[in-house]
Amino acid sequence: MSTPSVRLTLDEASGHYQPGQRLTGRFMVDGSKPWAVRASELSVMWYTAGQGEEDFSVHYFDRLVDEPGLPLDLRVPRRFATVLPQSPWSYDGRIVKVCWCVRLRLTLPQGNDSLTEVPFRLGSVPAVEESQGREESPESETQG
Amino acid sequence: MGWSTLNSNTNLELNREDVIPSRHSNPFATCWTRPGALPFLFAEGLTAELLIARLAANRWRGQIIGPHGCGKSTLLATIAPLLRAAKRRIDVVDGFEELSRWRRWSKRLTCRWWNSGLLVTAHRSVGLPTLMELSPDQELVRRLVSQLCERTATGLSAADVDASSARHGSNVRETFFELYDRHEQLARARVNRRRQRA
Repeated sequence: MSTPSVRLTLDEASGHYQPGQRLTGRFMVDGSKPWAVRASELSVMWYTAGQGEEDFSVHYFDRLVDEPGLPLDLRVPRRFATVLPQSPWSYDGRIVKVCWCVRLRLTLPQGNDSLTEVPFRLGSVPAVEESQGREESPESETQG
Repeated sequence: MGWSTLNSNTNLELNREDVIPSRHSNPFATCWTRPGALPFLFAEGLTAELLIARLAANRWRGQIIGPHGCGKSTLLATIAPLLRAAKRRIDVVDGFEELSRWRRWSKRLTCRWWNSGLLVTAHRSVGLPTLMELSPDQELVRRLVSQLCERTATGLSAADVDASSARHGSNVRETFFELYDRHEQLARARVNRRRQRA
């Protein structure tokens, strides 16, 4: 079964934002005829990823629904904007990472979902670096 | 080996993925390996439907047995939709032996009284009909790693995976934890090298 080709982009190409900064972007679905999409849900959110329990929180949410008389044609680019909060800052730790992203979920008529995600960075906490002496083994680079 | 790997020599520039934290940066993160995220891989000839048929044949009472981290919860998550589709009450207890003796007795009695099913997981037999006994081997770990790395590349070699699997035996969860750490080490060392060369 085919899924729509989604374009989700942030206006800030580097993907780096500071707390309080305005995040803007747009999304659209490619195609010569409109895809049958029941709803689109755009979230600006953070989540944790790593080895332990997971957590998340949605900062901004916008839902568009396909309604009789008001069909949802996502070939038309939709813009979104939100002011980013003061925290939590993005963090690239070894055990846990705090990740920010813009996530677009399209609900298709067959009950399937299409999920597109664009990560971005909030704040400027440096990534945890690997300690000296732990080097990448040469054989690990060449395995295929 | 069937999974893709990072080639650290071809591109010395820092990628966007290198500097923006994301769950996609490590294929062994909990979000990819927890029960429900990773489908249970059945041995040849066995399916979820067959397991449910076995449960039904035993008057909806059964146990899934296996050591720590072998995939019992993952199996439960995989068959959950079929259990719901059975349209009858089935009590599911993940970790039956963790209940006190009185609670176990009470649970069995309640299920019998209400004529509901009872499906449990345990490390050893708790006296219910055995539906499946899990003992994952190295080949299964390879298949799981291959599946996880379809989405996110890793610098880990087949030898790394086999060594970790051999260390942890049937405890696939621990194997994934170790592979997670190893992947982090390699990825960070690679980024450090790129930074230095840049």
